[in-house]
Amino acid sequence: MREVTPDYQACSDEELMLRLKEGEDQAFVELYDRFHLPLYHYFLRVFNNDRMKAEDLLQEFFLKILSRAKTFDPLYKFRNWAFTIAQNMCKNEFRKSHLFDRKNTFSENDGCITQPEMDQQLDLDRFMKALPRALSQLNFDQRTAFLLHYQAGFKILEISRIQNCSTGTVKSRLFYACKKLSHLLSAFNPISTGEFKDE
Amino acid sequence: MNRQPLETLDCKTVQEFLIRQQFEKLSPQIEQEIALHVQKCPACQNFVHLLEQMPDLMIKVDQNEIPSAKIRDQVIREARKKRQAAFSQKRGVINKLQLLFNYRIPVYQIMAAALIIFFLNLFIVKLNTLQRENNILPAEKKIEKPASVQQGHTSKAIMHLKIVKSKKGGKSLKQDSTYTQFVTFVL
Repeated sequence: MREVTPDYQACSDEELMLRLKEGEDQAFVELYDRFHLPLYHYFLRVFNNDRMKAEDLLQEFFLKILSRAKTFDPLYKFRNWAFTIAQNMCKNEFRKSHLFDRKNTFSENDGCITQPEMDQQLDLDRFMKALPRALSQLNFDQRTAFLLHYQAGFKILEISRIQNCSTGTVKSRLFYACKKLSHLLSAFNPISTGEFKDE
Repeated sequence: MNRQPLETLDCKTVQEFLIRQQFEKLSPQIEQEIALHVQKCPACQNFVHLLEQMPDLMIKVDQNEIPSAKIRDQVIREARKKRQAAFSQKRGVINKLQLLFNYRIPVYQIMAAALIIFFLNLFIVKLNTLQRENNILPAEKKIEKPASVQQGHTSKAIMHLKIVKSKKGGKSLKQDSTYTQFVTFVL
């Protein structure tokens, strides 16, 4: 009798993790295909567009998932669990490379576009280049909170669980991240918001 | 209320409120004032637009960033290696025993084993019988007539009878029988 192969694409992330626990390699491949891009983008933006580091971390992340598969609780969302691991990996990596307290690797003015002739229309191409640079000016917690909210689409409560802090702290981080970004990207706005004070 | 009136609210303050508004509920009065300011101020309208578009902009910023194709193969290969290594490590003594018990024996091997046991059993029984016959004398009664007893005095002679149990080496009949029974039962 021929064994029926399950349709992995139709499985939820949590089902795939259960199948991975049982030793099905194809479930792992499916999880990789689903999550490699959002995680790669997350790593890339956290580490100031360092592609090498992002790829290394991506690889390390999936191997970590494999070794921690048994600790996964199917009642918990896989996506949240995965990003919690990713966030911790970033934190460790930052600590290792002594970047935790340093806000960026770009020079101070790299993120800002200060041409006064910018009109009110959003110049998308310029903005695309300016946004990653501006992100690199944020501190680690603000940056990860911002990325989790605007890039990965997590809600405040989910971010508070991922970052292991209160929702108030997450709101504060997001507020200061947005405030600083609005300052750094003020060239896209004809009226500058003036001096910026960090939290 | 210790707040700036609408007329004096500058763009900076309004934009801070606009950011805050995304994550928390503001009072209806402030919301109304901000809405009025935004209606009149093109810069703040642009700012609202920017905040609303942020998730889409993030997607657009990231859409051209793709990890190299070899990463996928590397990850899958590494994962397989890791899984195999974990599996071989897991095979401890218990697993080896499990494998031993799970080993599937073909039918002809079982039949051969049964035949061997049957013949071995026959051989042991036969061997025991031979041993019993050769080495062990059953308990026997020897009647010795004392010299003092005269012939014909049978009743007196009976009174002096000696029961002599003699053995010529080997185990007792009772022990041998138990042993044989035990071996036969086990086999």
